[in-house]
Amino acid sequence: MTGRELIAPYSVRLRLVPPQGEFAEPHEDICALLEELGRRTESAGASLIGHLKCYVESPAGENFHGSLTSLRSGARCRGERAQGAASLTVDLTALVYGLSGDEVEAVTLATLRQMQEQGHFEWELNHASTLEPEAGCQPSGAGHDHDHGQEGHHHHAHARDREHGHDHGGGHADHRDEA
Amino acid sequence: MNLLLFSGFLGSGKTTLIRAFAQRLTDEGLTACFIVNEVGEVGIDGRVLGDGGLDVYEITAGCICCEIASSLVTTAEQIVERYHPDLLVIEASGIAAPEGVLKALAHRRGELFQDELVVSLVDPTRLEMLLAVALPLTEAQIRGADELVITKLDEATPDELAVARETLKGLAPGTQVSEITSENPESLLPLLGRLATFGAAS
Repeated sequence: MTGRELIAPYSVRLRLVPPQGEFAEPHEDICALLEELGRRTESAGASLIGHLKCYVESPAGENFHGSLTSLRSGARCRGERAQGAASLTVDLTALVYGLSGDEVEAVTLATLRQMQEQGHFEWELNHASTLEPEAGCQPSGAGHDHDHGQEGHHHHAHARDREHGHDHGGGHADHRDEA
Repeated sequence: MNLLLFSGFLGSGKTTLIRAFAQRLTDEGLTACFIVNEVGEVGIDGRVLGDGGLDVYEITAGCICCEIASSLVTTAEQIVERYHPDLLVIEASGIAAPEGVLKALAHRRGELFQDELVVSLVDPTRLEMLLAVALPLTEAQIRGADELVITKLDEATPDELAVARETLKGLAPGTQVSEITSENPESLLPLLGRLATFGAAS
């Protein structure tokens, strides 16, 4: 089994703030984020983009989801438009083959910095985690010797949780743990 | 109660198809509960389905076909005891082998559920890459299916569709294959009809 056949699920919660008061077209900003993240994962050596996806909520309770499975198809957002939102809470999951969790995280942070430089939004990273790399399940049912799942609607910290109050683009340190 | 398992690689369209299927179930007066498994820590698909008014149980941060199979069994038992639905719908993670999911539940077949149907979705636009990077998983998802669904007809090239059809024919000869795109709801109707019939048969 080589590294290119492994996937290290990476999840992060972000808070995005528009540079000028409110987001005019949140779908466009989120699609731009996913597509830049996709480009950077491929440049970093990803053998395959499995799925880059996110769930987005506005302070008013509007929500939508974004998805990218290939750069050729591009990103799509579906759901409420959330136009005029003063901020967005984004739960982002990156499932990419061929990169370690640390590499996916580095690519994600670089993407966010670029998005800020381009004037899309300022951001703060509230919570991130990476799970152990795996290859997917084999027909025999064999495969994994670890057990860190979460059942029902209960969420708790596990594996390699990280907090990143020191590493943000907008100067808004906000430690938040969903444990 | 019957069990309907949706399998398929990451981003193949499982959640989108399940949303459409849920509406069909509602139209036919059938009740269903949904278990969504995601390999990442944060659940996205469960909330997407929940926004459609569905009662969704999320199992995150692991794969229900192996490492957290016990969570699947426990959750399924709780759902059945509480809601007694006509159908239990499971969306497997994109890296799950359907055989493993069924194996985890096999000891409750006959009491928790009566019959099962596995539907595996295949994204033709990425199939060749999948076969190169994740061959055992891709083969397991295709071979383990009772129904196969080629998705994203609107995005695939003719060559990609030809490869997908040949691959499915080679790996799972005789298995029913549907071809759909979420951009054309009409393309979903025959498949949704068959799945609803399975749900009603319990």
